[in-house]
Amino acid sequence: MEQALYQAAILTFEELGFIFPIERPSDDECENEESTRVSVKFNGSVSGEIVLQVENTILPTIASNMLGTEEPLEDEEILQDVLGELANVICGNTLPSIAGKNEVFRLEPPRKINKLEAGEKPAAIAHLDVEESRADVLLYLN
Amino acid sequence: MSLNVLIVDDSAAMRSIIQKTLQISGLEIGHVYQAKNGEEALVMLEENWVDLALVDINMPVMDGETLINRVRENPDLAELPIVVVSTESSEARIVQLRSKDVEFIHKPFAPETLRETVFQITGVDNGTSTLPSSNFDF
Amino acid sequence: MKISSRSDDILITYALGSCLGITIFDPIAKVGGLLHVMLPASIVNPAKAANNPYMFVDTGVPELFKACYKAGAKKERLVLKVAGGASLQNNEDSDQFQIGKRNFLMLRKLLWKNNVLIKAHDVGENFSRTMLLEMSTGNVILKINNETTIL
Repeated sequence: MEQALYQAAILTFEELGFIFPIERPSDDECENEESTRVSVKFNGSVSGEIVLQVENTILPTIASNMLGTEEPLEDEEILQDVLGELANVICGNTLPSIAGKNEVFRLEPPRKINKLEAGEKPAAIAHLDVEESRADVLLYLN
Repeated sequence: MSLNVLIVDDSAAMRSIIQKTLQISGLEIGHVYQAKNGEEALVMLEENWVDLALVDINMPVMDGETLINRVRENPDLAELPIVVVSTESSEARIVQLRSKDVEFIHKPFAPETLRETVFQITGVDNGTSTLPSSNFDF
Repeated sequence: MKISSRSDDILITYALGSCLGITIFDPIAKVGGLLHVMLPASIVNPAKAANNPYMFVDTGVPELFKACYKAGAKKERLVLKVAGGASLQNNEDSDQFQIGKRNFLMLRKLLWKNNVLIKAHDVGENFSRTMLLEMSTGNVILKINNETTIL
């Protein structure tokens, strides 16, 4: 499951964000104040959510890469939308590997969250370094 | 002849990526209409001439599959070329979507893949560029 | 980097491993260029990049376009093809720096930001490629293990 999450996250960062992520040690800390987070909930034969958090130091660069602009993008609405689309694509690409290639899922629109739910344990985490910053993808199953 | 295009996706970023790809693809692009769900798209299709629609599946209010069904049922719109651009990965669902006479592109996609698919579905194999003039580096 | 507007020229670069060979060709002006870049980003060695911008994707590619414009090419007509970016280790996992992959990713980012799409590419895998641009036709020819193909 962790493997599927890493694969989907790396593929998405490379293809959409034109950025090269590297796996971080898996015992690394996830909690980070200076990050932006979104959640994408999914329902189907398995249900749960994917949370993507990306450090604010790198998010404007990723947004600029995705949209093909010269300067990093700072507009909060754009950053939120970019992060939501990344999470949506990671989610869509993770699910077939954990639930089977023919399962149909309903993905909810990405939703901003302020912090990770304390006490809830993710079923898998992908810890990534993107350039000099950190990004984490957490998969929760209901 | 330039193509009027409708892009339907709930993400503004994704709509921008698709629009930029079309504009640098060498296709002659006319008006680009954007809708953030199927319901908005239907209104635009009824009010404007559109030659090609690029449609996401998972959207709030009205999803892409419902939109495609409504378009195919409408005699005025039934022949509209549609490319589905979606994270949908279920093979069964992709087969079902393709049976509605649409092309399918899986997210994440390389812009070149979108260009090839659009050339294929519109029957254009090469065209003149509508390259925007704002090129900052080369 | 080589630029030509002579129809009897053939531009060649040999033994592309993780390096990228990038060709651009204007079929109307019959102007073309071939660039052989080694590393993705000039930031690792700005002094070297100042001295030899053709080593790096991010400094070499703009030079390739500018040189072709100077020779009469127009951006909207240029056809870009790319080959190389291989991982010459025995398997991809042992290639920890993945230079070939990074080179191609940097190229794609740069082109996307500058409104250019790739017409054809043959990248990755674990073999070396020789790349030729035939100025009379604009054809890009690849030689891989004694086999010749048109890209």
